[in-house]
Amino acid sequence: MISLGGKNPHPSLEDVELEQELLEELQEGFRIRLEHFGRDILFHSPGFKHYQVEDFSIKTGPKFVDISITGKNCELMCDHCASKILWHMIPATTPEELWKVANELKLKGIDGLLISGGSNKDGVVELHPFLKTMKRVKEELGMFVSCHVGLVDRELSEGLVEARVDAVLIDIIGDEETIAQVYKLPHKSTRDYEESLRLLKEAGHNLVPHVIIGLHYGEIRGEYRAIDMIAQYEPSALVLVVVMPYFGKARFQLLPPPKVEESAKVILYARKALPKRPVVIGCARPAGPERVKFDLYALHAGVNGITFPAEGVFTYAREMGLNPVVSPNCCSTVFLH
Amino acid sequence: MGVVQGLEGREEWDYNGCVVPLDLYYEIETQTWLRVNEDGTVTMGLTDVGQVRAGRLLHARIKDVGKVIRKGKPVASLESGKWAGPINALVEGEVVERNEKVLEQPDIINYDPYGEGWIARLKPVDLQRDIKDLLYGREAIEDMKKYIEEWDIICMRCT
Repeated sequence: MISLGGKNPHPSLEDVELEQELLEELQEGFRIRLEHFGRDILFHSPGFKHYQVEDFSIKTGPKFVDISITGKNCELMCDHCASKILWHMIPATTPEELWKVANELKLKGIDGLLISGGSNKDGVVELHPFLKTMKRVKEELGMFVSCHVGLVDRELSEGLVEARVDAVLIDIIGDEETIAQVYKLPHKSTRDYEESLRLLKEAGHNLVPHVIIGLHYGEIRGEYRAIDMIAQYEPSALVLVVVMPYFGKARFQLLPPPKVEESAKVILYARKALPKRPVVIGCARPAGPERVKFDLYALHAGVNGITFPAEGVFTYAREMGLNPVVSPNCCSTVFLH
Repeated sequence: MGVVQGLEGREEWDYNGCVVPLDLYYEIETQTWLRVNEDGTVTMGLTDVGQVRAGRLLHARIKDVGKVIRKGKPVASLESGKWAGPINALVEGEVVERNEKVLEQPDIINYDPYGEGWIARLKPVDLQRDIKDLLYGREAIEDMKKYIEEWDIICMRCT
């Protein structure tokens, strides 16, 4: 165990202890990042959350926000989320409302939108009625538009091309039981997720898959398989997030998230599986002392970016010899760097 | 809206459901409050408006007892799903007590921001010097009203 007390670059890391053996294991990830990406590391702070810690904050106003085309509603109501992730999004539940909201946001200086929403009972975010408006937002307002989808068929994948979206985000699950139990989709399987990846890649999208660490009630289950599935389709970037028990239903609320050390091994696996593609830590992960350790291990594992870095992490990255780059955008834009 | 007699007999002003006790000092921009205690120490916390803006708080860190905090520097940091930020010391001073209950269950701040949800108690270095920058009780009403209107806030104690 390595204690950062006394030699830490930031006072908030005084009580943090990292496992020496694990740090040695993670060195390979760091070597990969140096070889393929050099020393730049992105720290994202998209505008849907006010985020200010002692050594990191965005000085400009918000630039990138998220919109839900279903408001707070989700037919699936998965165990890990129960639609709560939608609650803080800006609602725009009709194409007309989306156009109005996008125009208002543009006037406020916003130049990027993440368009998402709740799923239907087949795990699909019903984006079809919004595609023409999304195209207008892209062409007439000149905004960056990324779209967080559920499962897609060929029609939706091609519709998103027609809408000229800049990036397509999709959560990939690598375990059948997780799909059936947590996502309430017993009639779907990992094959359906793989098919969505294939269709999106074939259509030529900038593909930014997400893997939720600890999705199976806090356990690591299908994460490694999901990464393997993703690696086959050469994504523009991979986003890793951690399940947040607070957002879940009763069965989730009291569960601890996965052990940070186990999560760090998932990050390393992703780094090795995608040596030439950006791997970033997304905005969703639990707050608290465990996040500090998670972020530090992520730096050692060679990630390309961290969203809302825990206090002290920005300073630590600089001490590691990395070159921090601050971004007000969603981490799904990392491939543009 | 208006000044009413609140719980425990203290005078309070309320607007859009947001309560502002009139026996406290305020910094409107950071939505923090300060109470001067009989022993010369001060107690600090987040206002009702502040807890609404933050949303249900999930995590809190408070500086250790014995640390001397300069005015305007963080004495605590709080985080919810949509907000993370510091609670800056309204006066320069030494931390003499942290609210351990808030560390264990930060959303006490959401339920009782001026009572059980206090954050830290400080021993000020120069109270008279630093307190001049704060608004006391009724002096805070006008600016608080502007803030509530600007951010379109309606206060609720359950999140």
